[in-house]
Amino acid sequence: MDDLREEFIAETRETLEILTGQLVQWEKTPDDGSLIDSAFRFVHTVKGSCGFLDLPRLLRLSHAAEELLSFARDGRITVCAEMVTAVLAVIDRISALTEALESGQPVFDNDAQLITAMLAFLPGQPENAESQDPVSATVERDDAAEANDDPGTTARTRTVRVSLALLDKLMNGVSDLVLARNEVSRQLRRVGATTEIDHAFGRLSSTVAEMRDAIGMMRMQHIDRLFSSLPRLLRDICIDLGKQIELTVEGSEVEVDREMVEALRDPLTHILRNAADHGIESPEQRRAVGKDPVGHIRVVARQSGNQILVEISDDGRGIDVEKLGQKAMARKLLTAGQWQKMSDRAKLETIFAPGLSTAEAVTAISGRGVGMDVVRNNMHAIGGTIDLENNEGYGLKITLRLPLTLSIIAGLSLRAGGQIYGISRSSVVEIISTSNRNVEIEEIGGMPIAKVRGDRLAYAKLETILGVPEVECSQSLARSLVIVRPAVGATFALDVEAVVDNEELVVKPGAPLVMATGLYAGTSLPDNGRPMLLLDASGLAAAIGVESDLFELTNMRHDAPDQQETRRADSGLLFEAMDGTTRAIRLAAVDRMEDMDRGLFHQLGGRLCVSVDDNLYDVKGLDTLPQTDSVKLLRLSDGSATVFLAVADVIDIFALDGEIAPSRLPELYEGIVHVDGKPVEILNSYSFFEANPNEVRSHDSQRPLCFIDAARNDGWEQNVLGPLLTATGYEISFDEADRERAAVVLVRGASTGDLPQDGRLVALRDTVQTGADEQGSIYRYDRMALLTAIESKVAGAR
Amino acid sequence: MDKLFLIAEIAGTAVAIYSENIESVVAVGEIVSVPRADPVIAGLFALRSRVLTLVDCQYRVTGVQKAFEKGGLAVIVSIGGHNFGLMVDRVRDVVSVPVSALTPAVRLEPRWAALANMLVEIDDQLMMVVDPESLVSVDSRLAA
Repeated sequence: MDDLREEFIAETRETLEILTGQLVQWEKTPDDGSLIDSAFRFVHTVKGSCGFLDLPRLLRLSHAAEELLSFARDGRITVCAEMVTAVLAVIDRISALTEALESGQPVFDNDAQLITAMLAFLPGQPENAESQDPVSATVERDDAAEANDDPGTTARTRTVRVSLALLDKLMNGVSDLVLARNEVSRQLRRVGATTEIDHAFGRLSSTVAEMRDAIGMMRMQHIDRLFSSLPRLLRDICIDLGKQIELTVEGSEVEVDREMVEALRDPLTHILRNAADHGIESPEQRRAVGKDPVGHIRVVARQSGNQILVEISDDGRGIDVEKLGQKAMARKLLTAGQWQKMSDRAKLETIFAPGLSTAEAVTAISGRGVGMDVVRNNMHAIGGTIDLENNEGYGLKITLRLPLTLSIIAGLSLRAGGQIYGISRSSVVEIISTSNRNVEIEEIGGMPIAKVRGDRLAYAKLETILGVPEVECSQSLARSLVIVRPAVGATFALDVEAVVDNEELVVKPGAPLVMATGLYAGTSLPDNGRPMLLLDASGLAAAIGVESDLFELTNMRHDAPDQQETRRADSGLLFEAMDGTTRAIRLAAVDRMEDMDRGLFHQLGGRLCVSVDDNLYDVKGLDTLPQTDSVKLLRLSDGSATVFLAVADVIDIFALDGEIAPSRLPELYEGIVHVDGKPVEILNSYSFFEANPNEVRSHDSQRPLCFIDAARNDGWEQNVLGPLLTATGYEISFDEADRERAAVVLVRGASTGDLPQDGRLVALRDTVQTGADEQGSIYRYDRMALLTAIESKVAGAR
Repeated sequence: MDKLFLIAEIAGTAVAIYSENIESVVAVGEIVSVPRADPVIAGLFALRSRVLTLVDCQYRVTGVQKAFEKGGLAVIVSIGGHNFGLMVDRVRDVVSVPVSALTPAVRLEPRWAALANMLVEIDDQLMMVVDPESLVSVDSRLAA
């Protein structure tokens, strides 16, 4: 409410500023029609706004002025200078009251006199002020109340209105600043900066970062802007339906991007109407089932990470799932047999099928069958999701999840035809390798279809959709299937060269000629400075020819009624371990499965490793070099580190929905589940990664470079220092040409005073004691000190 | 009243572009192609933190795409809230021309007619005044 009030104040003040000039003009030419119009519009707007802001004094003043001016506008009374004066007095009072709203200072109340003076110009109005007495009495009471209320709010923050275009310009400017900062940072690293410059640059960096945050916040608005209209909406519905409903709103202070507020308005209104109309029973019905005759609806907003959650819960009758099923069957969306086989969740989600509603009668408010499907599409369009929690007989809770802003999305970058494209992660259901044995590409009537764990999905190569030539992948790695569920259209499988990265993308609209293709949602500029096209999931669906939901519905009917269910529950992968036992592992930990040639396996340092693309990875689940020609390996990843798990065979994927019993060996096994009636141990994926903390560094292709300032034939550097650094995970070089790009420069036996000023320098000395000219150097056999020094230089260089 | 025009070459022909819409002239480094887009779109490129659309002016005129060369010149204009780079062969000069030197164009080749509706005389040479908006509008691809 405070926001609305502030906006009202700002708006009124702004109009008044413009109006002042015109009013002066009006005094001179009282019968000028256009000036009367301006004055009329002003009081009319004020009246409209303060009606629902509950500002009785302003309402009375503006109402009276409006009445008089409407007479003047219609020419029913002639405007004279005295009348202008009277109206101006009222407008001045409006202005004073508006200022008072902000400052909290009470304004002397003789409104009634002003009104009477003004209304005296109306035809047939009694000259005496007696009829106005009751009004003035109430007015005085209001004034007292206001004077009591307001002093607490004197410290109200002042605001100005700024155009969105200016905000965007500011935002672009800050983005430029960040890019420029990155460039300077690169240059500084190249030339090697002194501590002073580093310090100054650090300050610049933090200022820029702060500024970027602040500007981001400028686009944010309290969700109250949306919520404040709900009580009124509900009140009207209640009167129409003869129900009593109490609305509780929480979390009005949550901030969201202003575009998001607008995007949320329709879905929220829809849901609220549904809840009031279908959810909450009539007072008699409620009494009959022993509920409070007054229904309750709760709307709660809160921020959770980079998402906003909006929950709408009611204590009505919930969704009658069986009735929903009958409806769906009556509309031939499903057969009775399929309905029987569907999971509870899938049954509940039929409410999102187009043209379905459990309402018995079509009312003015809802029940026309355009409802939940539209709500869901709206939510998807803004990158959000909708979840239902049905408590039949006791209520329904709907949870809307949305990203914090529309302009920054969590994106996934994909490569196709040698170029990188982005796609919103919220529309991506799953990524799976085409070499996975659960994936089959088949062709039906000339149309390729991907079969993923039994689900049949429309399939297309991204290169084909875009009409670009495929690039033969040199590493001969399997291509990836991205399962995409667009806001509009059926879920489909998109075959891409590779999934590259996961990043936050700032979305900018593309030029009309680019958008005209229908394939792109916009453009983005990732940190590497190369523009990126964002793919529009719905547009791709249309290009493949699955723009209607029909495909998905047929799919749901014949193939996998439970597909929604299996996707949501965590999945486990059942496999046969090398020792022949059946084990399971969480599917989320498995990147992909690969067959590895035995030649790639090595026994190194007491561990079994496999070399892939010049990197060595640990192999678990196998102790000795393999006996067979090739071994099946599961590639496990925790996001940065990778290990492989050797398996004899992969058996199946199952839903981890049952109870997980604790294991006796929690460090090795997460627990025990029952699969097809047999107990199976789930491997503790965590244990694979915690075993060797150095793994991340040693397998990372981006190893920091250490330049050793010594001739190659210098024994100690080459035979002792070099191998130590290599083993610790650094790349080493003795080549003078690499000095420039090295992260650390090592020098031995030089007087520290003679060395050049270089932030990357680590000086070593041959003696335990520090000599006079060896300040800041490190004894060459002090391994810990040496590695710590290098580590800190590397960290500083980043 | 005088108006400033940028004189540039498109498809070997000198044309005048009204400078009020022109932000700058830059050498374009790398471009990213836009598959399935109108062939007049040569690609996207980054200029500071913005993503701009590179327009192949030559294609509009001759129907033949101009091969993009790194470092090629583009005239940066802002149209309808979007930023475009208009790919030109060469930029000659910026000249100030009195409004009286402008004459309505008569009988141009259809492709040019869609782009230029005025002529201007500069140093005894008659030039077409190209409207950048017509180069990038969705409608004009029908004309081209």
